[in-house]
Amino acid sequence: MTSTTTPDSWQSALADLVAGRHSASGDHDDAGAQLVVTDPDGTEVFRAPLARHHRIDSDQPNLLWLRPIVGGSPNPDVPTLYDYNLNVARRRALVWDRVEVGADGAVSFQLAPLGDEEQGQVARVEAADGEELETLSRWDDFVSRLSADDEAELDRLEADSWAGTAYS
Amino acid sequence: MGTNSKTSHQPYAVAPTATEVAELPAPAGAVGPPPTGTAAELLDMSALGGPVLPPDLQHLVQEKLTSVLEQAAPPAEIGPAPAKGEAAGGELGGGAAGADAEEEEPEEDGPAAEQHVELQSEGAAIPEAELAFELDSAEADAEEEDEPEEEALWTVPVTPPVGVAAGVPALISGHDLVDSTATLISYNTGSDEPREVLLAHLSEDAEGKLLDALDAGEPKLVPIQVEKEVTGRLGMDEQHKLAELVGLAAKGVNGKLKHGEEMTTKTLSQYQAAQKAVGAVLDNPALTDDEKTMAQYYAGHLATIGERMENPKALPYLEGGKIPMVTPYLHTGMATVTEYVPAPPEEGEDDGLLKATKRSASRIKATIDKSTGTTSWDGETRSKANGIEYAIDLGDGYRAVYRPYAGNDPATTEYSMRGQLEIHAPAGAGHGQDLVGRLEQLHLNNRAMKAPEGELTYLHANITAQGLAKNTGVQQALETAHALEDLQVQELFHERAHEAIGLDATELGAFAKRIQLEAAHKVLPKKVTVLRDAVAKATGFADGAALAASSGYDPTPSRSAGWSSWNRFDVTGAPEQFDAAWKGKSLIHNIGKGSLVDVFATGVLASTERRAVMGIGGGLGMSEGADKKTGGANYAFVRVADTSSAGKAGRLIWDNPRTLMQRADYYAYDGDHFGALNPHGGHSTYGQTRDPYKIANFTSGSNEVMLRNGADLYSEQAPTRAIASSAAERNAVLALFASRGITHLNGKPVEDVVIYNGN
Repeated sequence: MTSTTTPDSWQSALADLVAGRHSASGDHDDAGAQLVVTDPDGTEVFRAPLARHHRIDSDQPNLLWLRPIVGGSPNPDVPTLYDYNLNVARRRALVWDRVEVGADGAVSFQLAPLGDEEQGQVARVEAADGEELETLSRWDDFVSRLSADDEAELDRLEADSWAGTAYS
Repeated sequence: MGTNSKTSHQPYAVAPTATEVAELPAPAGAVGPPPTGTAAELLDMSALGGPVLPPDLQHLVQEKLTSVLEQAAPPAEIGPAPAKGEAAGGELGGGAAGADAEEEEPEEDGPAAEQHVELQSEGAAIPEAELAFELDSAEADAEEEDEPEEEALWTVPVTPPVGVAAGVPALISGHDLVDSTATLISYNTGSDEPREVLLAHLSEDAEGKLLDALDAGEPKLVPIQVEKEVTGRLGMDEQHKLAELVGLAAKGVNGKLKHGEEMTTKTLSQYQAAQKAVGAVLDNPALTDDEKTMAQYYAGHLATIGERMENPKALPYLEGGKIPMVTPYLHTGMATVTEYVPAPPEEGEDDGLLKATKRSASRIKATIDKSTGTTSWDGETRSKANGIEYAIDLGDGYRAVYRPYAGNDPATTEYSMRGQLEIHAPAGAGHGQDLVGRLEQLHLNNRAMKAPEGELTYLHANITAQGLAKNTGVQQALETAHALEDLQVQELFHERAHEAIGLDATELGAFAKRIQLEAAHKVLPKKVTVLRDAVAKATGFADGAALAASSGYDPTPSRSAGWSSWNRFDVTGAPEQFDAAWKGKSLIHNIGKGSLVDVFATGVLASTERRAVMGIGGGLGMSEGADKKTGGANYAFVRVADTSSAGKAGRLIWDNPRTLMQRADYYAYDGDHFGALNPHGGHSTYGQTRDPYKIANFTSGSNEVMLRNGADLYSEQAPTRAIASSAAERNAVLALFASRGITHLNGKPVEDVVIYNGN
């Protein structure tokens, strides 16, 4: 694995994006990150906003854990709020061969090929926009309603499934 | 049809239209090309001395038969097709020998078995007297009664156990239901009258049959006034959006508290907006007592938010500093509401169809007792889902709910709920078998699966698991199996065509259905023989008999919580080889810290979709696109890890991975592959494998092995280690086991399974 930038650089760029520190309004809640994955032929195969946490695996430095926000449905009592199934919005992984930070601040990962693939996918973590930013805001509402313990468990990015009862 | 009487079977020996022999290179014998005649041609039997149907009846039967043929397996392209008008026919077995062959057990292979599918060449020379039409239906019925009844693989319980969240599986014949499985759950209601429900997932191909059973036109509704208890937000709350505004203020402040940041102008504005709205309501002199209580409730929340803003460092975020969830204030009271119910049918209006009402989709809203794992439901409460469903009256207090594929756009509605079927029994216990029986009202197969069909399912599962679908011999066998059923449908039709005379359209539909079901039943042993032989040769066995006699061959399903699973014989037949390849490797699942009791309370590591029907979690909220993003809601995930380093807190660990890897229903990637995790989604599936020997060599920490439905933690699929996060958690799990009388998991003492490592 190689990096065209220093580990500090890409890691801090990633952390800033996920936390929303690039917010123009000065309030981090108004910004965040999205993950866009493309196949080697350039076809976009995945796009989702990212929850505000990430973790570099302690056993495998080129393994990054993230939580793309997928699913979600209106709360029965307050339809303007959304609930998320935490087994659906589960942690996902990027195993990368190369990483670089673009001029626009986005962090691009050349993912390791799987199986018979000659070349892996490209995963780009960039500033969330449009529908993805709206989804992220709904997710933030949801997380605010979790207990502090549940929120901490999500932040750890260790569980493959969610056994708790709150919004599971 | 019976198989005990050679005499009565002789008329079956030849098909009335068979005209030539077709020798085929099928691995387990030869079979002729399926007739290519259309339904109309097949009906033209006057030249053969068959009954002549009136033109209008011919048209109806033609329609029904065409439908049957279309619903049957796709036509096989085997051997040269006969010229049009030269209607080919085939007979399965020859004369008395054929009849005998039908009696043989599927396990009896070899030369005798090959006779099952040989064609006879007596077509043109068939004396009229031997035509199948000679056997009247009464004789056929008598033979039906003579047929020895095979035992079902599993008995459908009369009384499913109350409160068992995963339910009890029932194996149902045919492929109307996904996995040929229904799950019976008896929900605890807190009284001595549980609510028993059958849950199943319909295959998309079977939906047409079910919808044909429904009268789903716009129902005539009549209004009724009902006095009932209602719970919901007060109008004043909704009008002023108090819950929304106070929740938004809490969210803004929590975001700053968590990261130790200064409150922003926006945060302050959100708080002030909520304060203003709540204050305006409180100042309203016309408030009712309920409204006043509601406004004071939100004012209390705002006071807490204000305190945190004032002194953000007073409490650490994780130790009481986070502002608690602002739940909406809900009011419960009695109210008279107008409900619309279907009008009773008028005289002469009954068309035999089931009355169905289309409505917004919903799900059973069950709850789980975290300490006992008991699932409860009152039989009525439902949560909203995104889409539509049919509420169906089955009569006698039985009801069904079906969420169709058609009408639920996969791009915009919940993808995984499409095809879900619920059948509800009247309150009380003891309806298990009746629930399964009621499938017939919906035109679905309701027979319990028997051994031959079980073996066919087993072989198909192994073809998928072992990647045999591309093997030429297996492909030919699959085509032959399809052709056999087509052939049988047509033969039976020729035999029974006279029975169609005088039937109306509805009766013709039932007639065609009976023929299709009987054909499938009759031809099953032959299909098994053909397929077993091909699978045997593709996997290095001399023939089907050798495969069947091998140690790993076990065509019986395993019960796994509320579902079924089949094993793969390449693993069960070579345990030493497997164990050697997996030496030093384990399978793990991270459940997160502090969750062991929750997991063992239900006793299953369940897929997201399974959890939903168990009462764990609400709507999935996923469109088709979202489902592809998650890897599918029907699978639970485990990962390959080194045994030596696997023992971290919050994990279930299988140090004997064979217990899971001998299943035939998993697939895996050595890493996370975005946009490719739904194998049926039409996306690339690069890197996907079902080979347990490749999986053993996975190296990435993000590898994933997806198990269909999940794993039963109280069966032989139990983990060998469960790592607690604290001594207290370990004690709680052991207490749970003790309360249930569980002393061992898969033969290992529970004290040795549940471990606390001190970290």
